Amino acid sequence: MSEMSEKKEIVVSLQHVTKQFGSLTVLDDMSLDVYEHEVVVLCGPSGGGKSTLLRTINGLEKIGSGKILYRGTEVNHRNIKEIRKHIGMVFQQFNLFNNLTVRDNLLIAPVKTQKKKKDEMLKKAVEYLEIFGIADKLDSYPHQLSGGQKQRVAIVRSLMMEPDLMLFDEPTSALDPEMIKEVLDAIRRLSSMGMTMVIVTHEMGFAREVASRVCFLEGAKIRVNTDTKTFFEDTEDERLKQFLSVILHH
Amino acid sequence: MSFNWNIVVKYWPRFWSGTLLTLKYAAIAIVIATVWGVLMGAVSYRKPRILGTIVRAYICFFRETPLLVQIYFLFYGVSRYVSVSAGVMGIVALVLNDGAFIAEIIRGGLQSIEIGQSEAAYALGFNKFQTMIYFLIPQAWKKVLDSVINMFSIIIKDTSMLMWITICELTYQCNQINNYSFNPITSYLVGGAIYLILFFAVQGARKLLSMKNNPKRAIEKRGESAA
Repeated sequence: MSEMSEKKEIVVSLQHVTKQFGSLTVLDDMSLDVYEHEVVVLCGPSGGGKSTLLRTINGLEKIGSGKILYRGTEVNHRNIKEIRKHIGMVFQQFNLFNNLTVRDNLLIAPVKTQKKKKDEMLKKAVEYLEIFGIADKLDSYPHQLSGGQKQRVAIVRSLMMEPDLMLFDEPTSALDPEMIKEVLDAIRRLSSMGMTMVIVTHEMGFAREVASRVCFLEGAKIRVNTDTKTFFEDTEDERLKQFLSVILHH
Repeated sequence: MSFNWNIVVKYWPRFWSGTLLTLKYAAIAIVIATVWGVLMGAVSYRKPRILGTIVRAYICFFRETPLLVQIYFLFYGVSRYVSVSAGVMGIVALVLNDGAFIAEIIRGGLQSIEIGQSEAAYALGFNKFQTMIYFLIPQAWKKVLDSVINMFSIIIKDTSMLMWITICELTYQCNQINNYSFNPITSYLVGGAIYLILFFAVQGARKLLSMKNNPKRAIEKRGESAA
């Protein structure tokens, strides 16, 4: 760890997390600390456990052993619902609620789970939609939006909860190349706002630009966990060098 | 012996009162069976350990045994211990039977919704019950609406079984009219025609509902009529 990050508070701490699907080990003794205002990118080949690791943070995947601390509190089945309200999650397949308009997609969680006032939330929703350039979509249904628009709405939906941490599970993998940029721009904006984020992505150029730290996961282990500069320019790990040479020059 | 309009005219009050009773039982059964079916469908989708097994056993029993057997069982069997009228037992039988079919339709609808919808809800702090009410049931309902409305037609026809437990609904009245007039062609043809009219009424309601449900389809339809 660098000196700077030691001064900051840890938002999420994964400690010796292990998970198995039957006889297959998908997370093998993984440990990772995410500090405030940090952007941690998880990358690596398919089946390396990136998405699974990310999903354990907000309890969408149960862990076999080890523990997860959120702001120093161990996450368990009793407090997970409360903790989830502080952790935003953006999915590869957007997962906007298909039966609701953009407006209701944005309002339903803060109004129903956080008991916030509807008109205040609507004001906030409109502000966010303007920031992300989709204010005209307030009354549209998800099926009327493009992939990039859906993903931006999904990001705003998470922001409506005023999250302390945001998780991104391959947020651009289901998008057309043109739309990737608009979603990456939205994430860049969050990063400039100082949002703490953990991002699973294959967009290595983007990772290099926004990440404060990059982890390389392979074979259910975190093989490399280092600052961005070292990761891309100065790594000793042979397997990572090979991965980077393929992915950066394809 | 052939179709005779005079018999229709003479016995019209009987046809009419039978129709009203059929409508009454069908309407009550449709409303309760739908609510009951959605509830049972949601439980059988979620599969809670003990309740799930009970609900699945119930659905299996009421789908796989004849309605008439169930009606007799309730009317002659259960009525010994619970004193309720034939009408109430009739409704109970229709709700339990047709509700079991609706439950299966709803469960299928719920299963067809991507897991991502639930995951997104959980990630936002919703519990399982809220997720069901706010997101899963509304989406499943939209998908299976046509099948559920098809069940409404079946419920209307199923009310004819209630004649066996002293309820003077349409089929019972047709029987009576045949007994008095000795003209089965007229008695049952008119009875059948009335059921058919009720069926078309349900179909009309289905079209209205599915348009409301699917604004896109309604717009296309409007476009067609404008062109």
